[in-house]
Amino acid sequence: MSRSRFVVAWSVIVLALVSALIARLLIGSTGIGWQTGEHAEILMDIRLQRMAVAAIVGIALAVSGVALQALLRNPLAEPYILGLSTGAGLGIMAQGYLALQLGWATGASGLGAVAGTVLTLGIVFLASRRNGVIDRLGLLLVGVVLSTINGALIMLLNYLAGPGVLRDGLAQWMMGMLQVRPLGRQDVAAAGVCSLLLVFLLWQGRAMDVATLDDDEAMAMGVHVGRLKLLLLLAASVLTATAVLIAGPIAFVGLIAPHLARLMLGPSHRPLLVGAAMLGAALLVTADVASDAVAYLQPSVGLIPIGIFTAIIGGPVFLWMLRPQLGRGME
Amino acid sequence: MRFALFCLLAGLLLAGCDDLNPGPSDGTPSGGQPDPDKPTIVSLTPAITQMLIDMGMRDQLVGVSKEDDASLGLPVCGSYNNPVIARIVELQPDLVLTESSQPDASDVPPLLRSLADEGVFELRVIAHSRSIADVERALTDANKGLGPAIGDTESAEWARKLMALRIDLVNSVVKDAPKPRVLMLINPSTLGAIGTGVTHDELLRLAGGTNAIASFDTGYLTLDRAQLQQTVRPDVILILEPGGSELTDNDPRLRALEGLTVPAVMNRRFSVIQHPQAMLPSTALPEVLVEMAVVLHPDRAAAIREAYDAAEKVLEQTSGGGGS
Repeated sequence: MSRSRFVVAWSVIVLALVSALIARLLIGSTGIGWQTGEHAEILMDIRLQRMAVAAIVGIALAVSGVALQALLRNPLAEPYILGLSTGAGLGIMAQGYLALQLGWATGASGLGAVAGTVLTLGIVFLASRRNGVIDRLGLLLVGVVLSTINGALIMLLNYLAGPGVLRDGLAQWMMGMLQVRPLGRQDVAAAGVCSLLLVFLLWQGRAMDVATLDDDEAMAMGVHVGRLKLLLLLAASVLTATAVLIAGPIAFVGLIAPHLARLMLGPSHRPLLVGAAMLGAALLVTADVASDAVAYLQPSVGLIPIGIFTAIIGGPVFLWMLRPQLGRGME
Repeated sequence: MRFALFCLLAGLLLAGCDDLNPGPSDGTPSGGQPDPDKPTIVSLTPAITQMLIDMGMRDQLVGVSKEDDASLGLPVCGSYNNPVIARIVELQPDLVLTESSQPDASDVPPLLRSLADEGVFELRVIAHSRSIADVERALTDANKGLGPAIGDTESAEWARKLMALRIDLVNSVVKDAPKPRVLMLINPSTLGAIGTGVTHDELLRLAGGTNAIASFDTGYLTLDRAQLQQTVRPDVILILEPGGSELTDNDPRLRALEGLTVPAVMNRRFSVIQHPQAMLPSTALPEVLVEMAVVLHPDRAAAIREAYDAAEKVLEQTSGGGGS
C-alpha cells in the first residue's frame, strides 16, 4: 500500500469515528445540540452511556467478524453464522418461560443468554471436529443447522408462552436494541473482554495472515493451524456473545465493518483488526444516533431498535460491495 | 362434500384421541352441571371466557383457550387463531365463541367456519374490544353481542350494567382528587409504554390520573431514558404485567429507571398491576381499574374498594332483584 493511500485510508476511518462520536454528543431524543439547563448533566450522561455501549457492541461485532472470516476463510462469514445469537435468544426465552411456569421472578435475562450461547458454542465445537481438528466446512454447516434448531425452539416456547410480556420482550430483543439502562458491571466487563481479545488477536495477527494460505503451507511456516482455529473460534464466540448480551442480534455490522476496513487497509490482519473495530464502533454509534434523531423529530414513533437501522443501511451497502463478485459463479 | 367433511371429522376425532393438548379428558367442567336449557359453549379467548363467567355462564363452558386461566379446569381447545378443531368437535359444544379484530372477521380459521356451516356447532364471532364501550357492545350488541348469541340478553345486560356501575362508582371516589402524571409501561426493561387512544389510557383517566406521554399522541411506543428524564417526568409509574410479582429492592425490572431524577423514581412511586386480565379488555376491567386507582390514590384505597363492592348491591336494588 502506498504511503498516500495509507494516510487517506486511516484519515477516513478516524474521521468516520470522530464524526459519529460528536454526532452522538450533539443529537439526542430530547433535542439537538449541547444540552444545557436543569437536566443537562443527566441528559449528557445518558448520551455518553449510550455512546459507550454502542461502541463496545460495534467493536465486538467487527472484531468477531474479522476473526471468523479468517477462521472460515470465507469473506461472507459473520458473527451470527455459528448460531450463537439464536442460542442466546433461546436461553432468554427458556429462562423467561421457566420463570413464568414456576412463578419465579424473571431475573436478569443475561443468565439465560450466557447459558444459551455457551451451550450452542459447545455443540458447535464438538460437532464440527474431525480427528481432533476443527473442520471449516463442518463448522459452517453445524452453525447453520443449530441456528435453525434454535429458531424452531424459540418459536415453540413463544407459542407455548402465549401473548404477554415474555413474547413482547423477545420480539423487541430480536430486533436488536441497545438496552435502556445506566452503565453497569456488565458493560465494564464487556469492555474489558473486548479490549483483551482485541489485543490477543493483534498478537496473533501475523499467524492469521499466514493461516489464509493452505493449511499445509501455514504449518510449514510455523503456524499451529489447529490451535489457531480453536483460539479464533473461542475469541469470535466470546465477542459475539458479549454483543448479543448487550444488544441482541444486530445484523451486518460484523460483515460490513471488516469488508470496508479490508477495502481501505488491505488484507493484513493487524491494521484490519484496528480499522474494523473503529468502523464497527462508528457504524453502531451512527445507527444509535439515527434512532434518537427519529425519536426527536417524530416523537410518536419512539425509539426504533438499532438492529433495524443497521439492516436497512447495511443490506444495500453490502449488495453494493458484492457487485464485483456477482456473476462470477456463472463463469 | 358431505362425505369429505365426514372423513375430515372422523380424522379429526381420531387425532383428538391423542392427548396433544391435555385437559380433563371427560370434558366436564369442574363447576356445576351445564343447564340443559342453555347452550354448551367453547370459548376461544380469555376475554370472552371472563364475560361469560360474569354473565353467570360458568357452568355452560365445556372448553376454553390455551390463554385462559388453567384453574378453570376445562379442556383446552387451542387459541382463537389456531384452534384445536379435533378437541372442539370431541367436546360437542352447541356454540363456539371466538373473537376477530377484522371488520369482516376474515381472520377466523376457515375450518372453524366450514364446520359451523355444516351444522357441527354454531359459531359466533365477537368483535375484539379496544375500549370500555367495545366491551359493552360485545356483551349486548344485537348482531354481534354475547347475550343475543347465547339467547340470554338479560344476563348480558346485567353484566354490562354491573361493569358500568362499578366503573362509575370507583371513578366517583377519585374524580375530584389531584391527578398525578402516570407512565404505564408494558415492558419496563425497554421502556415500552402505553400512550393515548387505547383502553388503558381510558382506564387511567377513570382511575384519576393523566397519561404522562399524552403529548406523543400515539398508542404504544418505546421511550428513551432522556425523554423520561426531560419530557415525560411521571409522578407514578405503573407496570402492566398480568400475573407479575411485586417489585423488590434492586428489582431488575427497574434497571432502566436508575439514576433518573423524576418524581416517580425519587419518591419510589412505581407499582405492578398484576391482575391476570390486566391487558385484556373484558368485564374484568373494573378490577384492573381498582388496582390502578388504589396505586394512584392510596389515601382513598378503602373508599375505592367499598365503591367497587357496593356496585352489585346497588344494581340489585335499582333493578329490583338479581340478574345472574
